[in-house]
Amino acid sequence: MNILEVHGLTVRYGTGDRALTAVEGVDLAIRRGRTLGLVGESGCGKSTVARALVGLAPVVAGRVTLDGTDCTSQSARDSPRYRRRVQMVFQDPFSSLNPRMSVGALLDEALIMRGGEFRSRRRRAAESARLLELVGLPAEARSRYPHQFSGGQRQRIAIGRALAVDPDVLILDEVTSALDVSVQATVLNLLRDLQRRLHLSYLFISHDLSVVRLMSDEVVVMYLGQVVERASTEDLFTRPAHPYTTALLKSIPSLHGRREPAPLSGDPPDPRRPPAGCRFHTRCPVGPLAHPERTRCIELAPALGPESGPHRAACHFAEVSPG
Amino acid sequence: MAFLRALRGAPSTMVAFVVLLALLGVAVLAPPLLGHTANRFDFAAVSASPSPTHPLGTDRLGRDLLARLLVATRLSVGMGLLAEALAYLIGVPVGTLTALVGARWRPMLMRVIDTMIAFPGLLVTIYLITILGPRLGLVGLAVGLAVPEAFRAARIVSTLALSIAGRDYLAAARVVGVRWPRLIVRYLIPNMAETVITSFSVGVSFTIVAFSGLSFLGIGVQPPNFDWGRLLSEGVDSFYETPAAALGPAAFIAVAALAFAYAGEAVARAANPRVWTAAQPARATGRSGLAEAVSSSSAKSGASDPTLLVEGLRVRIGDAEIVSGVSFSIAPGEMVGLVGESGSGKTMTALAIARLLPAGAAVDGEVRLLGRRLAAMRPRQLARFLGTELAFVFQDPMSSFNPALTMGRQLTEGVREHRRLNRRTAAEAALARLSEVNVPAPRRVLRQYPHELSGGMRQRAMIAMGLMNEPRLLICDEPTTALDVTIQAQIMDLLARVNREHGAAVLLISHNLALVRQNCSRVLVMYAGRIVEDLASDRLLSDALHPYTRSLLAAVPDLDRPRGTPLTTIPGQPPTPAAHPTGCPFHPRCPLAQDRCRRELPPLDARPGGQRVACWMAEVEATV
Repeated sequence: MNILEVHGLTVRYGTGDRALTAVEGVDLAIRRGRTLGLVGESGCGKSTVARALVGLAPVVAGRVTLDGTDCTSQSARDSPRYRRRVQMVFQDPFSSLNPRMSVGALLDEALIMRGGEFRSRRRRAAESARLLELVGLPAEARSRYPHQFSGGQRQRIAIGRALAVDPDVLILDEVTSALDVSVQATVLNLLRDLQRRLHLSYLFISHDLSVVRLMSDEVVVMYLGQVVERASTEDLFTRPAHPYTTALLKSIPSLHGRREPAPLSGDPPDPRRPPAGCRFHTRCPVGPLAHPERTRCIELAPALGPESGPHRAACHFAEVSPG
Repeated sequence: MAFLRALRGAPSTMVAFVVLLALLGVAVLAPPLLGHTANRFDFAAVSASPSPTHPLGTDRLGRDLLARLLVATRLSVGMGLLAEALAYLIGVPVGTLTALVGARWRPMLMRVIDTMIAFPGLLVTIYLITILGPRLGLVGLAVGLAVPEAFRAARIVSTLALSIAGRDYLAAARVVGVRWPRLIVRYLIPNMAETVITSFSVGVSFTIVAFSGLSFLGIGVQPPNFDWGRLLSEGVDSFYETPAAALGPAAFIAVAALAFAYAGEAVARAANPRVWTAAQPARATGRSGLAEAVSSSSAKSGASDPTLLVEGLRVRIGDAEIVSGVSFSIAPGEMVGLVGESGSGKTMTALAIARLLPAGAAVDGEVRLLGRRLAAMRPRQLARFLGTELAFVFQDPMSSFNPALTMGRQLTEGVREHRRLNRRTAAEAALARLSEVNVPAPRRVLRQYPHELSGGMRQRAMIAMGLMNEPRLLICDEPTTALDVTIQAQIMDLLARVNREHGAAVLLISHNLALVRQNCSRVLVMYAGRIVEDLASDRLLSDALHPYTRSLLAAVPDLDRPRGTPLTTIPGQPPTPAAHPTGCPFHPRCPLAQDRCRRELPPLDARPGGQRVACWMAEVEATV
C-alpha cells in the first residue's frame, strides 16, 4: 500500500515575469516499507519536491495524501502530526546541523516534539543514547558539537535526529552527495539497515543513478520539473524507455566497459522558460533534432503513458516494453 | 569552564581584560570614595602643576584633577554602555523582525533602516540632545547616542539573520517541528552572537569617544556634572600651564576605547563552541620519521623526456604535512588520473606543481616541467614559463573567474601578457578557442560576464582559456564534479579531444574512480599524502594490489553490481595530516595489516608492467 502519495504536484516560486514553476504536475507514490528513487539533474525540481513534502516549499496545485488523509494545505504539512510522520535528511551535513548546539541538544529538541513520556529529561537521555546507537555512534557523542565529527558521522547525526520523532517516511535529499565514496557506502548501508529494522518508507533523491539503483524499489526520472519516466528499478535500468533516461545511463562513467561519447549535446534550457511541447525536445537524440519530421514533439506535450502500466514514459516515440 | 578558558588568549587580550576590569572598578568605586575630593575647591592651589598631593595637578578652581578624572569614569563608561545597551535592545529585535517578516514587508523595513543610517549619526545625536537634553538630562543624552546606534545594530542583525534564515540547519529544525520563538533563541541568536558582540563592543568604544567629543564641544554633559570630554575641554584651555590636565582625560578616552574593542573581540571568539571544544580527537600518535622510504626510482617513461616529472614532492602547512614525498611522471600526450578521497592531498599536489599554493605552505622536492627545474627559475621567468606551458582547470568555474570582468578580457589577458598580442589578434584567438571547445555563439560569450553562462559553458570557457597559450600540460582538478552527468560526459569528450589534437598531457584529478578509469591511461591512487598505487587503468579492476585501492573499488556503487548486496566499507577514517600513524598510513584500516605494517612505511616499489605499489603485503596479494 502507498503511505505517501502526490498527485499533480505543482510548486511555483515568485509571481509574474519572474515566476519559476519548479515542479509541474508531478505524481508520486511511496509504498510502505519501500524506497522510491527520484533522479534527475540539477534544476529538474527533485529537491523542490522534497521541500514541498515537508512544508518548506509552497504547493500551488495538486494533492498530498498521507495514509489517505489529505495533507495538501500548508498548515497540514506544518502540523506536528504530519511532521512526526514525515521527516527529511538534507544533502550537506556540514550545514544542516546548528553549529551552536551539541548533539545531545539537537536530539533532545526533536524528542521534545514527541511529548508524552519524552517530557521527562531522563527518558530523553535514554532515548537519545538509543538513537545514537541506532545510527552507529557512541553515546559520548551527546556532549560534542557537530564540527567535532567527520562528514559521514554528521550525516549519521542528521539521520538520528530525523528518526528522533519516530517517523514513518524519510525524505532523503542527496544525502550522500557531499561524502567520499567509502563514507557514502557506510551511510547507504546504514539506511538500508534502518529501513529493514524500523520498517521505514524512503523517498531517495539523488543525481547519481548508480546510487539510486542500489537503494530503490521503484524509480522516477524528472526533467525540467516534470516526470518523464517511472518504472521498477529493474525495468528502468535494463530497459529504459525515455530517451532522456537512456542518455543519463550512457553518461555515467563505469568501472567496466569503454567510455561512450557524450549522448546529449547542449545545456538544459532555462526552467523559467521551458520549451513548448516535450520539454526535452531541444536536446533529444530521437526527437526533431535528429528527425525533423517529428514535429509532434514540439507541438504536443507527451503524457506519462497509461495510468495503469507499471512502466510509464512521457515520450511520443518511447518504446515501452509491455509488462 | 571551557568558555572561560577560551577567553584567555593573546597577551593583548589579557591586557584588554585587565584594563576593562580596572575601568569598571574605578567606575563603581571612585564616585563614593573620591567624590568629595573631586569637588573640593582649594584656592591655595589653583592651576597647580603635578605634585605628590595632586598627582595630575589641579584645575582653575583648585580641584584635584586625578580625583576628577577617576570620578568621571563612571559617567563616561556608563554612558557608553547604557547608550549601546539601549541601542541593541531596540536594534536586535528590529533587525531579527526584518529578517522574519517575509518577502512582502521586508523591503519596506529595510528601506526605513537604510534611510536612517544614511543620516550622519552624530548629527542625529546632536539634534536629539538639543531637543531632549534640557528636559531629560543624562537620559536624554543616552537616548540621543543610542538612536543612530540602534539603526546600525538593526542593519547588521537583519543581514545576519537573513543569511542564517537561509541555512539548511534552520530548515532542518523546522522540519523536526521547532517553532519560531525557539528558532530565534537557539538558532538565530547564537549564530549571530560572534558578530553582534564584536559590533556591540566596538559600538561602546565609539559611543565613549562620541560622548566625550560632544562634551568637549559643550553639547554633552552640563556642569556641575563632568565626564572625560568635559575635563579634556577644560584641560585644553590651560594646556600650556598644566598639560597633564588635558593629557589625562585624552589617555583615558583612548585606553577605554581600545580596551572595549579588544575585549569584545575576545568574548565574541569565545562565544563560538568551535573555539572552546577540541577538534576531532587524534586517533594515531607519532609521525613517520622515515618518509624517505619512497623509492626514488620513479617510473621511467620510455625514451622521450616526460612532460612532467615530480620527485619527492612534499607540502607542509604549519605542523601538518599534506603531501609526503610524491613521485610520478607524465609522458607527452599522456592522460593520467590522480584519485583519492578528500584530504588525501591530491589537490595540494596539483597546486604545488602549478606553484599555486597558499602563502605559508612550504614546498620541498623536485618538479620538472618539460625538463626544466621549476625551483631553479627566477620568479618572473617562472611566471612566464608556467603561464605559457601549463594550464589549470579548477573544479568550480564560477569562483575561478573574476566576476567583474567580461569573458573576453579574461580569456585574452594571458596571451596579451605572455605573447604581447594586440587586442584584436588576442580576441581572434579567443574566438577560435571558444568555437573549438563547442561554445555556441562565441562572439556573444566574449562580451558576457561569468555569471551569465551556465556551469558547463563556464567550464568550457575555462578550458578554452587554458588552451590559449598552447600549453604542454593541462592540470584539471575535479573539472566535472560541480556539473551534471550529461554535461560531464561532454566535458570529458572535450578533454579527450584536446589531449588528442593538441597533444597536451593531462593530469586529471578526481574522486571518481570510474571517470578516471575510463578516461586516463594510468591511475595514481593517493592516500594520506602519498601515492600508494600507480598502474595502467585497464588493469585497475584486475590487477590492483593495494588494499586501499581494492576497498575503494569495492565501495563504488557501479551499475554492474548486484543490487541486493551491501557495499564494501572501509572501517575507520583517513588520518588527519596532523596525525599520521606510524608505519603504513593505511594500516589502522587495513584488513591485511601485520606487525611490519604498523612499524615501517612501505616504499612505492616498482613491479612488472610499470605498476608501483606501496604495500608490504603486495607480494602476498599478487600470488593469491
